[in-house]
Amino acid sequence: MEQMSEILFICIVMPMIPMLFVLPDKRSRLFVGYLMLGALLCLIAGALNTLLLQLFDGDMLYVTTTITPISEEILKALPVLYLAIFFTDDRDTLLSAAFALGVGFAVLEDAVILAQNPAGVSIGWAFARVIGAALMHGACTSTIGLGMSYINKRRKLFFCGTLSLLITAILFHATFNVLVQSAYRIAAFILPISLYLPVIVGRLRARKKEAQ
Amino acid sequence: MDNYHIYLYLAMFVSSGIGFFLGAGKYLKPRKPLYASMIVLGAGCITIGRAYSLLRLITGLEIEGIFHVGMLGTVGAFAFFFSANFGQIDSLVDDGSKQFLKYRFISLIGIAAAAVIYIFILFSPATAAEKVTDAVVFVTIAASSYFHIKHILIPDVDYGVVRCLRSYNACALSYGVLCMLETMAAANGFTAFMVTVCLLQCAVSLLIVPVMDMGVRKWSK
Repeated sequence: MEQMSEILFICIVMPMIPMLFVLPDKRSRLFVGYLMLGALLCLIAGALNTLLLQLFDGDMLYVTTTITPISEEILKALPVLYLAIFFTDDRDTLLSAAFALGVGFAVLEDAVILAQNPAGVSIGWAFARVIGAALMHGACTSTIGLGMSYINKRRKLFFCGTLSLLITAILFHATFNVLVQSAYRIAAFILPISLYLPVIVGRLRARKKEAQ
Repeated sequence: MDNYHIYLYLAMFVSSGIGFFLGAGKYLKPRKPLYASMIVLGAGCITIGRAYSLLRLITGLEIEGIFHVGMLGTVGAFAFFFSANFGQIDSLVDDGSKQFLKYRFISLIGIAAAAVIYIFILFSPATAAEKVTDAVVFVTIAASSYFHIKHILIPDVDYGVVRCLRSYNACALSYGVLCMLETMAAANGFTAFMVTVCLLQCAVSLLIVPVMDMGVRKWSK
Protein backbone atom coordinates (compact mmCIF):
# COMPACT_ATOMS: atom_id res chain seq x y z
CA MET A 1 0.00 0.00 0.00
CA GLU A 2 1.25 3.47 -0.86
CA GLN A 3 1.91 6.00 1.91
CA MET A 4 2.09 3.19 4.49
CA SER A 5 4.97 4.95 6.32
CA GLU A 6 2.97 8.17 6.59
CA ILE A 7 -0.12 6.29 7.84
CA LEU A 8 1.96 4.49 10.48
CA PHE A 9 3.56 7.77 11.50
CA ILE A 10 0.13 9.35 12.02
CA CYS A 11 -1.14 6.32 13.97
CA ILE A 12 1.91 6.06 16.24
CA VAL A 13 3.07 9.64 16.69
CA MET A 14 -0.07 11.77 16.52
CA PRO A 15 -1.55 10.32 19.76
CA MET A 16 1.58 11.53 21.54
CA ILE A 17 0.95 15.19 20.68
CA PRO A 18 -1.71 15.75 23.39
CA MET A 19 0.74 14.21 25.87
CA LEU A 20 3.06 17.17 25.31
CA PHE A 21 0.42 19.51 26.76
CA VAL A 22 -0.39 17.25 29.70
CA LEU A 23 3.08 16.32 30.94
CA PRO A 24 3.95 18.46 33.97
CA ASP A 25 7.70 18.99 33.63
CA LYS A 26 9.96 20.29 30.88
CA ARG A 27 12.26 17.24 30.88
CA SER A 28 9.44 14.75 30.21
CA ARG A 29 8.10 16.96 27.41
CA LEU A 30 11.57 17.13 25.89
CA PHE A 31 11.95 13.34 25.86
CA VAL A 32 8.48 12.69 24.41
CA GLY A 33 9.13 15.45 21.86
CA TYR A 34 12.42 13.87 20.83
CA LEU A 35 10.77 10.44 20.62
CA MET A 36 8.27 11.92 18.15
CA LEU A 37 11.03 13.75 16.30
CA GLY A 38 12.89 10.44 15.94
CA ALA A 39 9.85 8.92 14.22
CA LEU A 40 9.58 11.97 11.93
CA LEU A 41 13.25 11.59 11.01
CA CYS A 42 12.63 7.94 10.17
CA LEU A 43 9.94 9.10 7.75
CA ILE A 44 12.36 11.61 6.18
CA ALA A 45 15.15 9.00 6.08
CA GLY A 46 12.80 6.61 4.27
CA ALA A 47 12.23 9.17 1.49
CA LEU A 48 15.93 10.03 1.38
CA ASN A 49 16.90 6.36 1.19
CA THR A 50 14.57 5.84 -1.78
CA LEU A 51 16.35 8.69 -3.59
CA LEU A 52 19.78 7.28 -2.66
CA LEU A 53 18.74 3.85 -3.89
CA GLN A 54 17.87 5.34 -7.29
CA LEU A 55 21.19 7.18 -7.32
CA PHE A 56 23.09 3.91 -6.76
CA ASP A 57 21.20 1.94 -9.45
CA GLY A 58 19.00 0.08 -6.97
CA ASP A 59 21.93 -1.72 -5.31
CA MET A 60 20.09 -2.30 -2.03
CA LEU A 61 22.94 -4.18 -0.31
CA TYR A 62 25.53 -1.49 -1.07
CA VAL A 63 23.20 1.36 -0.08
CA THR A 64 22.11 -0.24 3.21
CA THR A 65 25.62 -1.26 4.26
CA THR A 66 27.44 1.91 3.20
CA ILE A 67 25.26 4.92 2.41
CA THR A 68 22.24 4.78 4.76
CA PRO A 69 24.35 4.50 7.95
CA ILE A 70 25.93 7.84 6.99
CA SER A 71 22.69 9.61 5.96
CA GLU A 72 20.68 8.30 8.93
CA GLU A 73 23.31 9.10 11.56
CA ILE A 74 23.77 12.64 10.20
CA LEU A 75 19.96 13.13 10.15
CA LYS A 76 19.66 11.91 13.76
CA ALA A 77 22.55 14.09 14.89
CA LEU A 78 20.95 17.35 13.68
CA PRO A 79 18.17 17.71 16.35
CA VAL A 80 20.68 16.82 19.08
CA LEU A 81 23.01 19.51 17.72
CA TYR A 82 20.10 21.98 17.73
CA LEU A 83 19.35 21.12 21.37
CA ALA A 84 23.03 21.47 22.32
CA ILE A 85 23.49 24.83 20.56
CA PHE A 86 20.30 26.62 21.60
CA PHE A 87 19.08 25.03 24.83
CA THR A 88 21.35 22.91 26.97
CA ASP A 89 24.78 21.33 27.04
CA ASP A 90 23.96 19.23 30.09
CA ARG A 91 25.37 15.78 29.35
CA ASP A 92 22.56 13.74 30.95
CA THR A 93 19.82 15.73 29.19
CA LEU A 94 21.58 15.44 25.81
CA LEU A 95 22.21 11.71 26.24
CA SER A 96 18.60 11.02 27.26
CA ALA A 97 17.13 13.17 24.46
CA ALA A 98 19.47 11.53 21.94
CA PHE A 99 18.48 8.06 23.15
CA ALA A 100 14.77 8.98 22.94
CA LEU A 101 15.34 10.21 19.37
CA GLY A 102 17.06 6.95 18.42
CA VAL A 103 14.28 4.85 19.95
CA GLY A 104 11.59 6.94 18.19
CA PHE A 105 13.41 6.33 14.91
CA ALA A 106 13.59 2.58 15.59
CA VAL A 107 9.89 2.34 16.56
CA LEU A 108 8.67 3.71 13.23
CA GLU A 109 11.30 1.73 11.31
CA ASP A 110 10.09 -1.51 12.96
CA ALA A 111 6.46 -0.64 12.23
CA VAL A 112 7.24 0.06 8.55
CA ILE A 113 9.17 -3.22 8.16
CA LEU A 114 6.30 -5.07 9.87
CA ALA A 115 3.72 -3.49 7.56
CA GLN A 116 5.77 -4.33 4.46
CA ASN A 117 5.92 -8.04 5.29
CA PRO A 118 3.35 -9.03 7.92
CA ALA A 119 3.53 -12.71 6.96
CA GLY A 120 7.26 -12.92 7.62
CA VAL A 121 7.29 -11.69 11.20
CA SER A 122 6.96 -13.44 14.55
CA ILE A 123 7.30 -12.77 18.28
CA GLY A 124 10.97 -13.76 17.93
CA TRP A 125 11.41 -11.21 15.13
CA ALA A 126 9.83 -8.53 17.32
CA PHE A 127 12.18 -9.24 20.22
CA ALA A 128 15.16 -9.35 17.87
CA ARG A 129 14.21 -5.94 16.44
CA VAL A 130 13.79 -4.50 19.94
CA ILE A 131 17.13 -5.84 21.15
CA GLY A 132 18.96 -5.16 17.90
CA ALA A 133 17.67 -2.16 15.97
CA ALA A 134 16.16 -0.13 18.83
CA LEU A 135 19.29 -0.41 20.97
CA MET A 136 21.53 0.21 17.98
CA HIS A 137 19.72 3.43 16.98
CA GLY A 138 19.55 4.60 20.63
CA ALA A 139 23.21 3.83 21.30
CA CYS A 140 24.43 5.48 18.07
CA THR A 141 22.54 8.74 18.66
CA SER A 142 23.58 8.85 22.35
CA THR A 143 27.21 8.48 21.30
CA ILE A 144 26.90 11.65 19.21
CA GLY A 145 25.09 13.40 22.10
CA LEU A 146 28.09 12.72 24.31
CA GLY A 147 30.39 14.73 22.02
CA MET A 148 27.90 17.58 21.77
CA SER A 149 27.87 18.05 25.54
CA TYR A 150 31.27 19.75 25.12
CA ILE A 151 29.84 22.50 22.90
CA ASN A 152 30.13 25.31 25.43
CA LYS A 153 32.76 23.79 27.73
CA ARG A 154 35.51 23.02 25.24
CA ARG A 155 35.01 24.19 21.66
CA LYS A 156 38.17 22.47 20.42
CA LEU A 157 36.90 19.14 21.72
CA PHE A 158 33.37 19.72 20.48
CA PHE A 159 34.18 19.99 16.77
CA CYS A 160 36.69 17.16 16.46
CA GLY A 161 35.16 15.02 19.21
CA THR A 162 31.66 15.16 17.73
CA LEU A 163 33.01 14.28 14.27
CA SER A 164 34.91 11.31 15.74
CA LEU A 165 31.85 10.12 17.66
CA LEU A 166 29.65 10.54 14.56
CA ILE A 167 32.12 8.35 12.65
CA THR A 168 32.03 5.77 15.46
CA ALA A 169 28.21 5.74 15.29
CA ILE A 170 28.27 5.37 11.47
CA LEU A 171 30.71 2.45 11.72
CA PHE A 172 28.65 0.76 14.41
CA HIS A 173 25.44 1.22 12.37
CA ALA A 174 27.10 -0.03 9.17
CA THR A 175 28.55 -3.08 10.94
CA PHE A 176 25.08 -3.87 12.32
CA ASN A 177 23.55 -3.56 8.84
CA VAL A 178 26.17 -5.88 7.29
CA LEU A 179 25.66 -8.47 10.03
CA VAL A 180 21.87 -8.33 9.93
CA GLN A 181 21.87 -9.14 6.19
CA SER A 182 24.45 -11.91 6.48
CA ALA A 183 24.41 -15.49 7.70
CA TYR A 184 25.72 -14.18 11.05
CA ARG A 185 22.46 -12.39 11.89
CA ILE A 186 22.59 -13.47 15.53
CA ALA A 187 25.82 -11.46 15.97
CA ALA A 188 23.91 -8.34 14.87
CA PHE A 189 21.70 -8.62 17.93
CA ILE A 190 24.57 -9.41 20.29
CA LEU A 191 26.49 -6.33 19.09
CA PRO A 192 24.21 -3.60 20.60
CA ILE A 193 23.72 -5.60 23.83
CA SER A 194 27.50 -5.95 24.23
CA LEU A 195 27.74 -2.16 24.07
CA TYR A 196 24.65 -1.42 26.13
CA LEU A 197 25.13 -3.82 29.06
CA PRO A 198 28.52 -2.50 30.29
CA VAL A 199 27.14 1.07 30.10
CA ILE A 200 24.03 0.11 32.12
CA VAL A 201 26.07 -1.84 34.69
CA GLY A 202 28.48 1.12 35.00
CA ARG A 203 25.62 3.62 35.47
CA LEU A 204 23.86 1.43 38.04
CA ARG A 205 27.10 1.04 40.00
CA ALA A 206 27.70 4.79 39.88
CA ARG A 207 24.15 5.46 41.13
CA LYS A 208 24.65 2.95 43.96
CA LYS A 209 27.90 4.68 44.95
CA GLU A 210 26.24 8.10 44.87
CA ALA A 211 23.40 6.82 47.04
CA GLN A 212 25.89 5.45 49.59
CA MET B 1 39.12 -11.45 -3.12
CA ASP B 2 42.03 -13.63 -1.97
CA ASN B 3 41.99 -15.42 1.35
CA TYR B 4 45.11 -13.59 2.49
CA HIS B 5 43.07 -10.38 2.64
CA ILE B 6 40.70 -12.02 5.13
CA TYR B 7 43.60 -13.24 7.31
CA LEU B 8 45.28 -9.82 7.16
CA TYR B 9 42.11 -7.99 8.21
CA LEU B 10 41.46 -10.61 10.88
CA ALA B 11 44.97 -10.10 12.29
CA MET B 12 44.55 -6.30 12.25
CA PHE B 13 41.09 -6.57 13.85
CA VAL B 14 42.34 -8.87 16.62
CA SER B 15 45.48 -6.85 17.41
CA SER B 16 43.70 -3.49 17.49
CA GLY B 17 40.84 -5.11 19.44
CA ILE B 18 43.25 -6.36 22.12
CA GLY B 19 44.74 -2.85 22.39
CA PHE B 20 41.26 -1.34 22.68
CA PHE B 21 39.99 -3.76 25.33
CA LEU B 22 43.17 -3.28 27.38
CA GLY B 23 42.42 0.43 27.54
CA ALA B 24 38.60 0.28 27.64
CA GLY B 25 38.53 -1.51 31.00
CA LYS B 26 40.73 1.17 32.50
CA TYR B 27 39.88 4.45 30.81
CA LEU B 28 36.28 4.31 29.57
CA LYS B 29 35.00 5.14 33.04
CA PRO B 30 33.96 8.35 34.77
CA ARG B 31 36.70 10.50 36.36
CA LYS B 32 39.50 9.15 34.12
CA PRO B 33 41.70 11.49 32.01
CA LEU B 34 39.66 12.52 28.95
CA TYR B 35 42.87 12.47 26.88
CA ALA B 36 43.36 8.76 27.58
CA SER B 37 39.67 7.99 26.99
CA MET B 38 39.90 9.64 23.57
CA ILE B 39 42.97 7.59 22.59
CA VAL B 40 41.15 4.42 23.67
CA LEU B 41 38.10 5.45 21.62
CA GLY B 42 40.46 6.03 18.68
CA ALA B 43 41.74 2.47 19.09
CA GLY B 44 38.08 1.39 19.22
CA CYS B 45 37.49 3.15 15.89
CA ILE B 46 40.41 1.26 14.32
CA THR B 47 38.93 -2.01 15.66
CA ILE B 48 35.39 -1.40 14.44
CA GLY B 49 36.64 -0.14 11.05
CA ARG B 50 38.70 -3.31 10.60
CA ALA B 51 35.75 -5.40 11.81
CA TYR B 52 33.51 -3.80 9.20
CA SER B 53 36.02 -4.42 6.38
CA LEU B 54 36.56 -8.00 7.60
CA LEU B 55 32.79 -8.59 7.65
CA ARG B 56 32.45 -7.27 4.10
CA LEU B 57 35.15 -9.72 3.00
CA ILE B 58 33.63 -12.67 4.88
CA THR B 59 30.15 -11.99 3.52
CA GLY B 60 31.52 -11.77 -0.03
CA LEU B 61 31.21 -7.99 -0.45
CA GLU B 62 33.87 -5.93 -2.21
CA ILE B 63 36.25 -3.61 -0.37
CA GLU B 64 38.44 -2.53 -3.27
CA GLY B 65 37.56 -0.07 -6.02
CA ILE B 66 34.54 1.32 -4.17
CA PHE B 67 33.75 3.66 -1.29
CA HIS B 68 32.89 1.81 1.93
CA VAL B 69 32.73 2.97 5.53
CA GLY B 70 35.63 0.73 6.68
CA MET B 71 38.02 3.56 5.82
CA LEU B 72 36.12 5.74 8.28
CA GLY B 73 37.70 3.64 11.05
CA THR B 74 41.08 5.19 10.24
CA VAL B 75 39.50 8.65 9.81
CA GLY B 76 37.71 8.32 13.18
CA ALA B 77 40.84 7.07 14.94
CA PHE B 78 42.98 9.95 13.71
CA ALA B 79 40.18 12.44 14.39
CA PHE B 80 40.22 11.20 18.01
CA PHE B 81 44.05 11.35 18.18
CA PHE B 82 44.00 14.84 16.66
CA SER B 83 41.23 15.96 18.98
CA ALA B 84 43.06 14.63 22.06
CA ASN B 85 46.34 16.39 21.17
CA PHE B 86 44.83 19.61 19.82
CA GLY B 87 41.97 19.98 22.29
CA GLN B 88 43.56 18.67 25.47
CA ILE B 89 47.35 18.93 25.44
CA ASP B 90 48.58 21.43 22.86
CA SER B 91 47.69 24.58 24.82
CA LEU B 92 49.81 23.28 27.74
CA VAL B 93 53.00 23.27 25.68
CA ASP B 94 52.47 25.91 23.02
CA ASP B 95 51.30 29.38 24.06
CA GLY B 96 51.51 30.64 20.46
CA SER B 97 54.73 32.59 21.11
CA LYS B 98 57.59 32.97 18.61
CA GLN B 99 59.75 30.76 20.81
CA PHE B 100 58.00 27.66 19.43
CA LEU B 101 57.77 28.78 15.80
CA LYS B 102 60.63 26.46 14.84
CA TYR B 103 58.73 23.40 16.13
CA ARG B 104 55.55 24.45 14.37
CA PHE B 105 57.44 24.63 11.07
CA ILE B 106 59.27 21.33 11.53
CA SER B 107 55.95 19.62 12.35
CA LEU B 108 54.69 20.50 8.88
CA ILE B 109 56.90 17.60 7.67
CA GLY B 110 53.98 15.30 8.56
CA ILE B 111 51.65 17.12 6.20
CA ALA B 112 54.31 17.27 3.46
CA ALA B 113 54.99 13.52 3.80
CA ALA B 114 51.27 12.76 3.48
CA ALA B 115 51.10 14.90 0.32
CA VAL B 116 54.12 13.10 -1.19
CA ILE B 117 52.68 9.62 -0.49
CA TYR B 118 49.32 10.73 -1.89
CA ILE B 119 50.95 11.60 -5.23
CA PHE B 120 51.68 7.86 -5.67
CA ILE B 121 47.94 7.19 -5.21
CA LEU B 122 46.91 10.01 -7.53
CA PHE B 123 48.90 8.45 -10.38
CA SER B 124 47.95 4.84 -9.52
CA PRO B 125 45.38 2.71 -11.39
CA ALA B 126 42.93 3.10 -8.44
CA THR B 127 39.35 4.20 -9.18
CA ALA B 128 38.20 7.81 -8.69
CA ALA B 129 36.08 6.76 -5.69
CA GLU B 130 39.17 5.25 -4.02
CA LYS B 131 41.28 8.33 -4.75
CA VAL B 132 38.69 10.64 -3.19
CA THR B 133 38.20 8.50 -0.06
CA ASP B 134 41.96 8.03 0.29
CA ALA B 135 42.31 11.83 0.17
CA VAL B 136 39.91 12.13 3.12
CA VAL B 137 41.92 9.53 5.07
CA PHE B 138 45.19 11.33 4.25
CA VAL B 139 43.87 14.73 5.38
CA THR B 140 42.97 13.35 8.82
CA ILE B 141 46.28 11.50 9.18
CA ALA B 142 48.22 14.59 8.05
CA ALA B 143 46.42 16.84 10.56
CA SER B 144 47.03 14.38 13.37
CA SER B 145 50.68 13.82 12.32
CA TYR B 146 51.34 17.56 12.71
CA PHE B 147 50.57 17.36 16.42
CA HIS B 148 52.28 13.98 16.90
CA ILE B 149 55.54 15.37 15.47
CA LYS B 150 55.16 18.63 17.37
CA HIS B 151 54.60 16.83 20.68
CA ILE B 152 57.60 14.57 20.08
CA LEU B 153 59.92 17.53 19.43
CA ILE B 154 58.66 20.42 21.55
CA PRO B 155 60.48 20.99 24.85
CA ASP B 156 57.96 20.62 27.66
CA VAL B 157 59.43 22.87 30.35
CA ASP B 158 56.34 23.78 32.38
CA TYR B 159 54.25 20.67 32.98
CA GLY B 160 56.21 17.64 31.77
CA VAL B 161 53.02 16.07 30.38
CA VAL B 162 54.04 15.90 26.72
CA ARG B 163 57.44 14.46 27.64
CA CYS B 164 55.65 11.42 29.14
CA LEU B 165 53.57 11.01 26.00
CA ARG B 166 56.44 11.09 23.47
CA SER B 167 56.47 7.28 23.03
CA TYR B 168 52.71 7.26 22.47
CA ASN B 169 53.00 10.07 19.90
CA ALA B 170 55.77 8.13 18.12
CA CYS B 171 53.51 5.04 18.05
CA ALA B 172 50.49 6.96 16.71
CA LEU B 173 52.69 8.68 14.10
CA SER B 174 54.09 5.30 12.96
CA TYR B 175 50.54 3.94 12.70
CA GLY B 176 49.58 6.93 10.54
CA VAL B 177 52.55 6.42 8.22
CA LEU B 178 51.76 2.69 7.97
CA CYS B 179 48.09 3.43 7.16
CA MET B 180 49.18 5.76 4.34
CA LEU B 181 51.64 3.16 3.02
CA GLU B 182 48.94 0.46 3.19
CA THR B 183 46.59 2.65 1.13
CA MET B 184 49.35 3.45 -1.35
CA ALA B 185 50.30 -0.25 -1.70
CA ALA B 186 46.64 -1.26 -2.18
CA ALA B 187 46.12 1.42 -4.84
CA ASN B 188 49.20 0.31 -6.80
CA GLY B 189 48.77 -3.44 -6.27
CA PHE B 190 52.05 -3.92 -4.35
CA THR B 191 50.89 -7.11 -2.61
CA ALA B 192 54.07 -8.17 -0.78
CA PHE B 193 54.69 -4.63 0.45
CA MET B 194 51.08 -4.37 1.65
CA VAL B 195 51.33 -7.63 3.63
CA THR B 196 54.50 -6.37 5.35
CA VAL B 197 52.91 -3.01 6.15
CA CYS B 198 49.75 -4.67 7.51
CA LEU B 199 51.78 -6.96 9.78
CA LEU B 200 53.65 -3.93 11.12
CA GLN B 201 50.28 -2.23 11.64
CA CYS B 202 49.17 -5.19 13.76
CA ALA B 203 52.16 -4.68 16.06
CA VAL B 204 51.76 -0.90 16.29
CA SER B 205 47.97 -0.94 16.82
CA LEU B 206 48.51 -3.42 19.64
CA LEU B 207 51.04 -1.06 21.25
CA ILE B 208 49.27 2.33 20.98
CA VAL B 209 47.05 1.99 24.06
CA PRO B 210 49.57 0.26 26.41
CA VAL B 211 52.27 2.82 25.50
CA MET B 212 49.80 5.69 26.10
CA ASP B 213 48.85 4.07 29.41
CA MET B 214 52.52 4.02 30.50
CA GLY B 215 52.80 7.72 29.63
CA VAL B 216 49.60 8.67 31.46
CA ARG B 217 50.72 6.77 34.57
CA LYS B 218 54.07 8.58 34.50
CA TRP B 219 52.41 12.00 34.24
CA SER B 220 49.84 11.30 36.95
CA LYS B 221 52.51 10.11 39.41
